[in-house]
Amino acid sequence: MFAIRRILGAFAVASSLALTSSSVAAQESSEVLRVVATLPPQAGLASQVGGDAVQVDCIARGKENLHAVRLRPSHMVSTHRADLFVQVGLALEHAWVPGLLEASRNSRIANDGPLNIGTGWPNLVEIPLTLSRTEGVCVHPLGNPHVNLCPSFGAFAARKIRDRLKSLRPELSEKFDANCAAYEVRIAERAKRWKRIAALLEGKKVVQYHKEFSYLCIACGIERCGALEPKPGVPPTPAHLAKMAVKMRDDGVKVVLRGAWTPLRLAQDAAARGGAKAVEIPVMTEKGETWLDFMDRAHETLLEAWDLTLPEDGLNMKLADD
Amino acid sequence: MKSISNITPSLSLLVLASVLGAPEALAQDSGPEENSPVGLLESPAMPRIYWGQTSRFTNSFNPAIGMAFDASLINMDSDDEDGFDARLNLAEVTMQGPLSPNWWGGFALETNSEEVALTESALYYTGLGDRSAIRAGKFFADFGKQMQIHVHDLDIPDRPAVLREYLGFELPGTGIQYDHWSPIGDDTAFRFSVGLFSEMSAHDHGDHGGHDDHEGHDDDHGDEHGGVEMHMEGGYRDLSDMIMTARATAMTDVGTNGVFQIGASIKTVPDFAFEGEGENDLAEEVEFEAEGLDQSVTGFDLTYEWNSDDGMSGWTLGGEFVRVSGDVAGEIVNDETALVDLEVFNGDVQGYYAFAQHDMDDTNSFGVMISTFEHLEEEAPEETETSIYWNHWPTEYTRLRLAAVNVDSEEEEDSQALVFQLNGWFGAHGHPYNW
Ligand SMILES: [Zn+2]
Repeated sequence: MFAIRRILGAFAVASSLALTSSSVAAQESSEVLRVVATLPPQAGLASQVGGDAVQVDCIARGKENLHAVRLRPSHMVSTHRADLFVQVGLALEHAWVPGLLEASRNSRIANDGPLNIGTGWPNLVEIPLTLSRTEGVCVHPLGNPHVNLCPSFGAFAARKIRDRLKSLRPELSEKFDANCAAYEVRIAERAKRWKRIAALLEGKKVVQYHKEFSYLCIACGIERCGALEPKPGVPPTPAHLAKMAVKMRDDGVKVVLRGAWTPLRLAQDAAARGGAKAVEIPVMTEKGETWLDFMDRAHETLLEAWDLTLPEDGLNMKLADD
Repeated sequence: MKSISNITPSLSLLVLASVLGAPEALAQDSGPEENSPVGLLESPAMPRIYWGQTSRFTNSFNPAIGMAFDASLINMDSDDEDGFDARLNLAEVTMQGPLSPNWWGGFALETNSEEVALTESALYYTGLGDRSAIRAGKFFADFGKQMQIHVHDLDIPDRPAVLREYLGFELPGTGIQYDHWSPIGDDTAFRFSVGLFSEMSAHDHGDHGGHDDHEGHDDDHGDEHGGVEMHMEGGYRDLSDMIMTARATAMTDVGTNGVFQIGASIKTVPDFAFEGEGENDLAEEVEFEAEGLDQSVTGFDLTYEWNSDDGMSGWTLGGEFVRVSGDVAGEIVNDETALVDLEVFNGDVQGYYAFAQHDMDDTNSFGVMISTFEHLEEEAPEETETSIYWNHWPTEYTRLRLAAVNVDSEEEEDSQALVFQLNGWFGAHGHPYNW
């Protein structure tokens, strides 16, 4: 039993050390608001709106499947200390966020709840018409949750973040209002260019690997002709791919859109069978990139997919305003 | 694959707890109700086996029900046993649900088609503070990295041989456990647990084609070796005579793509008996018993996991060294010169397992596992089990596995087995966060 006592003693010392370190952390959090965002787009928006009043940590790295982001110990630590947890919601992160929130045991988040940016999203698409167990898995049970690729996401999300920050730090309300308003102006400037690109893309047809570009396609007037996945979250089956190859040829689809996380070879082969090519589109903001840059990149990649270029004067719109 | 033992996919019962038991705020939002035909589908988040949800159906009813299925086709090649065998390793039904924001409970019922066993039935209390929890009832004891979840949930084809020998296929105990985790710096989580148990069974649902010295259920809460069983008297006992388990572990980020974990575990059994039957000098069946024995099992584990930027491929390397000390074995000794008796062997035996797994993409992984250990016997004969395996996930909730197992035994004949395994998960399914 002596060995056991020693082990228990070591546990006690180690845990009290750890407790001390975390209570120091709790005091610090009363000054700068600690924000944890599930995905880089909303992390960037939170930084824009919060300015120096927030410290933002982000969980996803930028190339993952948004439904299946892997968590690390640091995510549990940052979520435990967070004053605000920002997710898209709409069941986008439901496979990994509830477990993170439970395991990280943050009573502030448990009481206030995370900020779900997708709540109240006005143009939800691809809502399943029926729900039947016989149809198996669907990772978009509430409709398409990939709203971060919609050009109107920026302003929509920035306002939601602003409102929550104001409720957490009412004394800084003016600052958050001003930051948000300034950011919306910049979004509106960039959006002019996105609209001009959209005009060139109107009427083009695509098939998606996973239906994660639907909002971008809708904004650009691109017609969606189905997905390589038989259902969101269900890996492509040979029978479904054969059907899609026929459909792509019948509909004249020339481009298959895929995220970096999807199997390249499979997407290329499936596209080739349908007489199309596979094109990678960013699914999230990547390191060092703002949401505006990311949306620029997404639009430009679409232009390249059809070998299109925006007439010269359009480039002047993209001034270094970040 | 996204190994159940890694941090992300091992969301599990705790995920379920968050879905079911946590304040509503934790649940994902439902989206605009006016646009959604889904109506009450407010919280589709469910524990995952692999990743994603096990079903798109709301789990907000209480309790959540899950099922698991595990069957194998085995081709065995050894001197004692040869040929094909089809086995239902397990069918499992689980139910879990909240009792209040701070309490939740669940149970798991398992059968291998011969017997039914209640392997888990516990209440969990989280009202002590931010990072502490207490569980009470019957639940899997906290030992090492590959012992906390059901065999069918492991990425590796079977419980590592050294753990089967020293701890049993599963380690459900009846008792109470306290656990607490704390952040250390920004990148490290430290956690410890201490459990006290009045009994702990070496419950078993048949192995998957490897060396087969555990057959069928052993509901006597004992671990059988050569006809001699480890047995704990029922009834009241001193606190110091309870079985104790403890585990301390730290996991930390290694860069942006890796996680490293280190852990130490102990299980002590301060007062038990070895029991066995044998023939006495008059050729009568007699029961033998040796009481007042004690034994401890200690383990030290390391795990490293790395995944690619897109999270779809990666490597997992893991291993654990395990040592049993004290009264490690009992044997009915019947030589010509002495009286028949149950002899107890006091000493140390040890072993380890190590594995490497490569996730090729989100539906395929392969790996190799080796486990070498000394048997719980006086001579401590050594055995090495080596398996190579390939896991394929046609969907998130079905897994096909092909494994080749070689057993190299100092004491018995060597054997080889080829195992084709099929697993399916239905509805809610999960296990506590795998620390
Ligand atoms: Zn999706």
